[in-house]
Amino acid sequence: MTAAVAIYGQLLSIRESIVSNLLTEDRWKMMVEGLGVTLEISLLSLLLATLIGALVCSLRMSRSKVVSHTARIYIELMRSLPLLLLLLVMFYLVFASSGLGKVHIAVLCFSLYFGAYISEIFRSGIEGVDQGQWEAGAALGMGKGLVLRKIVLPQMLLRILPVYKNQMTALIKATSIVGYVSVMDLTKASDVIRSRTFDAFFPLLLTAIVYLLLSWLFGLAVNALEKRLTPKSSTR
Amino acid sequence: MSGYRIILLLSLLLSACTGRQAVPDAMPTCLEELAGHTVAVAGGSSTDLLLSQYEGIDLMRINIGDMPVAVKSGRAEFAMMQEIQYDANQLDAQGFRKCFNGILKGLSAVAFRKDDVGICDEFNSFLREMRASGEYDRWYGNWIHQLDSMVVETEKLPAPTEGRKITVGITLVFPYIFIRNDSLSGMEIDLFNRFCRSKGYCPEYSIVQFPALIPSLNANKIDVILSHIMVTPERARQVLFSDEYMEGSQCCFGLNPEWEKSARAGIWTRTRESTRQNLVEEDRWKLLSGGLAVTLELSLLSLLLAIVLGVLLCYLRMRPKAAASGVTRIFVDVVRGIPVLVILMIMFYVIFAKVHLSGVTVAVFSFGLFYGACFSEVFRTGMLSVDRGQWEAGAAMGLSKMQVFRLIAFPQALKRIVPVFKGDVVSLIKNTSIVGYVAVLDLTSAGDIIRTRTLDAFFPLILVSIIYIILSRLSGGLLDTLDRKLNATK
Repeated sequence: MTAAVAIYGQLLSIRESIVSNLLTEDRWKMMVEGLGVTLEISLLSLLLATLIGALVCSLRMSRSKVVSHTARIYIELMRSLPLLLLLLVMFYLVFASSGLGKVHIAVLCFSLYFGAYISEIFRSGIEGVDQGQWEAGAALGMGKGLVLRKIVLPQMLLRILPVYKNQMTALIKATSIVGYVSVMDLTKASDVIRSRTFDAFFPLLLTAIVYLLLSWLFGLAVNALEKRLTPKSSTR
Repeated sequence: MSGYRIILLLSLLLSACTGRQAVPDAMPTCLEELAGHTVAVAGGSSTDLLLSQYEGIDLMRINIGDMPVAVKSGRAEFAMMQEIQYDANQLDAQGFRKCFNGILKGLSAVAFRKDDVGICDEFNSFLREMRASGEYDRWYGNWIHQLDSMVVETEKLPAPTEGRKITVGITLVFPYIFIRNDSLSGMEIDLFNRFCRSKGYCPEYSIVQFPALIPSLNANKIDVILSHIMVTPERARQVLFSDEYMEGSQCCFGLNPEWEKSARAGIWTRTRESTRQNLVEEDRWKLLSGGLAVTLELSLLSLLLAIVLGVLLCYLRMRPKAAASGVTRIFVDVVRGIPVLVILMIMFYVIFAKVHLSGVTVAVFSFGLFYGACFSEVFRTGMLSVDRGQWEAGAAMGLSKMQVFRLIAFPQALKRIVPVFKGDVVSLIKNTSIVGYVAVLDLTSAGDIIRTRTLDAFFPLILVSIIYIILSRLSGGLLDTLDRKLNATK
């Protein structure tokens, strides 16, 4: 009986948490909008970072010393700066007086930062394909672009997908720091709710669960892609 | 590749940005005229609550110290802060102007826990004595009119070091509470030190983010809130306010349309001036070196904890027992699926909310946990990459499992682990920069404090960036050496 009362009390307090943290003043809207911003920043950055990664990778592998060196400096720079600091530099210095919105600056920042990592992933993927494959392609009379497209890329894609997935999940999670420059993303929304309701547990737990779901769903999507890319006859 | 090239590129990149700013056509004269504009407010403050009720105002929730930078850079058109905080000498000279004031007139007080009636009475009686003896008027008048001399005077009278211990939650807000010459100073610090001296308390000041003050108080992390906190009915339901000791109101400010920039000095003079202002004045370099020490401490301790935890988790994960490995797998996946920042906040505000631990300790636990989960996967892939045949061959030669691990499997795995491990270590060091979120004074937040006091974004940010670049390269280089040594002993 006492146990039943205790459980009932717990349920009541959970209900109260939900009411005060989500329903009062339509606070759930804040969370949903925050999630929207997180998704927007993540998706845009994901696309742009992949593009930047491909571009930087091609520059890095260029035969011209100057070009490949510049790309290397860029990669090293991004890899040695904390993301938060890069965000602050972008926000308060580089794009301080430009007309770009906060979200766009954040997208640029994440794309530049993760683009450097992605470019290295691409490079290691291409270098991981045996030199003999290139030579065999050339012997068959194929051009360099054709070998890259038909032979090297399919092999490389399969190889880099797991690492790529990790890096992109890291990107989705890293977007949580944008609250520092007052972008209302999921984390910041829960922070604002927390500062109003003085209840830390519920909003933070909810945020953690949403991020978990996001990472998990993204992982599922990449896994599905991986399955499609794996050749049917392969015995892997 | 040399570090100086990176720094060169960085400065080139930054010199590309010019100081254009959007100056508003007309200054608003009341709250209603703020509609359609972006206004910076302190998150969770009473201004935040007030302005949220107005339609059409785009609110930007930031720290008070960031407001001038935000307005100057055009991120926000106007900002609201306490009238007394608007340091006209400094801000007017930089092209700001007050638009209107007198908003949200209110009284500020010190806040205690609801059940701490005794100490609240002591504070109230101290205030009454102070008012009766005329000490209050001297304190108030001197701080308002002769700020600089009062600051020096406060430094000569440090906080008492003996007596009943009391933990005071503060936020850095000029001129009430700020850091000068590497020590706390300000109007309210002075007041509270006087109280402690007269009633026999030994204050221990702990910096807390403003929105976290009341939760920290109710979670017993701090005993008093001293942050120029306004008495509002909502807050009075949560805490016990002392008698009010100061009246204040909010003002709104923006860029002055009539202000004309003085001619720019040469680059050399400017650099020298920046160095003086950002590092030498008020011994600000001590903030930076202290922050660097915290960053190093945090990184090293977290790294150690993460390695220990990583080994443990990797061991559990590779157990043949399905239960042990399954539970570990779920644990690792959950931890890795949540942003470090959210883990840090959960640790700080939920798990360790009731325990009195320093921010650094909580941060070490958070980073240790997150990177421990990451490391465990790195270690596991390393171990899995060793061919099964190696284990079988070892067993065939009569070696025990432990011996095979130590002599055969581990050395091979290590070679594969180190390159990946290096990336994670560097990422750990860089990621410690987010601890400013829970008010730990690390390198990044030290740079932030300097930035918000000197209103110069360029110098502190670039300096801190350079320090991080050096740190990352040093740690990366160290692990590269290890990698080379391992590969040399083939």
